[in-house]
Amino acid sequence: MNNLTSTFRLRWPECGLSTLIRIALCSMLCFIGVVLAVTSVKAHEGASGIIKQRMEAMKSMGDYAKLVGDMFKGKASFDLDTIRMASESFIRHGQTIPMQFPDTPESREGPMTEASPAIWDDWQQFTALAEQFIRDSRQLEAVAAMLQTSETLDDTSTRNVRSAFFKAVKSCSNCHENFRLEHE
Amino acid sequence: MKIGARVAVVGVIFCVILSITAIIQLQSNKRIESLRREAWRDADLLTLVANESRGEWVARAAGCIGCHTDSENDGEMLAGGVGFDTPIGRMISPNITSDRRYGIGTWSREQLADALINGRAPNGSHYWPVLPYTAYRSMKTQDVVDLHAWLMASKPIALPDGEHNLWIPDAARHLVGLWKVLYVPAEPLPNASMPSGQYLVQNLGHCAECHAQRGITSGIANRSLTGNTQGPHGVSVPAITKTALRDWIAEDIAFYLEIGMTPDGDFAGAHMAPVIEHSTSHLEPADRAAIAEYLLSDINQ
Repeated sequence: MNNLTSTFRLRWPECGLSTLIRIALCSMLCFIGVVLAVTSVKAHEGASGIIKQRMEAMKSMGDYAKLVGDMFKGKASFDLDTIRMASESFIRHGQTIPMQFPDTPESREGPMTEASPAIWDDWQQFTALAEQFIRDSRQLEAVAAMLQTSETLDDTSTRNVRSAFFKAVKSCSNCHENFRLEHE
Repeated sequence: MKIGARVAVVGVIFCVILSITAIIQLQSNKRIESLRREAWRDADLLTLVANESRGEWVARAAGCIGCHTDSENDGEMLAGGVGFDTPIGRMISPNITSDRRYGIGTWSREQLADALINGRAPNGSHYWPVLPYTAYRSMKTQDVVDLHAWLMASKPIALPDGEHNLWIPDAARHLVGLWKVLYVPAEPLPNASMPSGQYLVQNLGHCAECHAQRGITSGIANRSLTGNTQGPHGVSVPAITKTALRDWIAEDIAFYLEIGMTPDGDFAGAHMAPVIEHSTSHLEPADRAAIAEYLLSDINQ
């Protein structure tokens, strides 16, 4: 017992002010981390069911669009496989879009939704945009496939992929402009 | 007696306010006239040779096409009809095709310059500042000349202008002269040393109209692009200062202005999508690079 207290007495003065500050800072960072983690989990928790499904589909397409975009920005090296995977994702998710926006109260007004009522008021235009998106994504897939068989990749071919990609993702903006509610 | 005195006092105050307003108004008009002459002095508006095809570039960069084309209802290019919700009511953009009756087909170069730079209609009345002449103030004379040539060569569309739906009488337009004293920048001359990115953002592109905070009279006292919580149609518009764009590199901005994709793969909607569609996506890659350079520079705080 005596030994123990003497150890403590010895250790406390050793543990200088800077160490204390370090400990305090570390615990503060941990706390902030935990708070951030909890809130981000909550943000995902807010959406559920069909809304969560479609948000995840959009996110997945966005992730692929980002990967392809990074290539054209010179942030990543040019890779035809990524383009092929992106176009597959666009086609697959594009086909599910009409199913992911059913005209139900939950789908219309559920928590976290950014879907505009215009979707159901103008269903024909909404689905026409989705179809356009699928067509253009198929074209992107075809352009990428054609290049995959050719041996050289020159400026013209990358330009072709670029414009096919641009054409496909034009639908993203077109649809968001008319059918997505602005958050914030 | 007491009531009579009160009425007299109120009457006198009213008259004083009215005369002060009139004086400021007159001064403002004088100032605008003299500034206009100054603006034409260095490069004569009437003798410059117009480059019509370059005029389309000016129209794109200045956003003429986006605001004066009712794309939503498949309207003809430049024929107007786009609604703008303002604090004083709904305004409808006019027909600016070359139609001589319903458009601006009869306008001279000087009249176009007067509209864009001074905010004055050919009949001498003030335009509501929904036309961003506060930003066009420093427009280069050559740009006005080229734009004029391109507009005059545009397809004429015989479509009458839509009626504004305002809750204040049209006579209140006279007060715009007063407003101009506060918000039209004093120096009308384009600065030759101004970097092209700054000219595109702050003048032709008039980004501050949405990306800066407006005061109580809807004027923008400070054109820093710090965002606007009360943007068009009540939607919040983000800040695009250097600090706000810290996660963006120049290529991200140029790419966004070309196809509307943010660095994380999201796509612009709302009111930025038409800006990209009608304006920034049609500019040259060098223009978008210049805009990016300006936005990420230290001046853009």
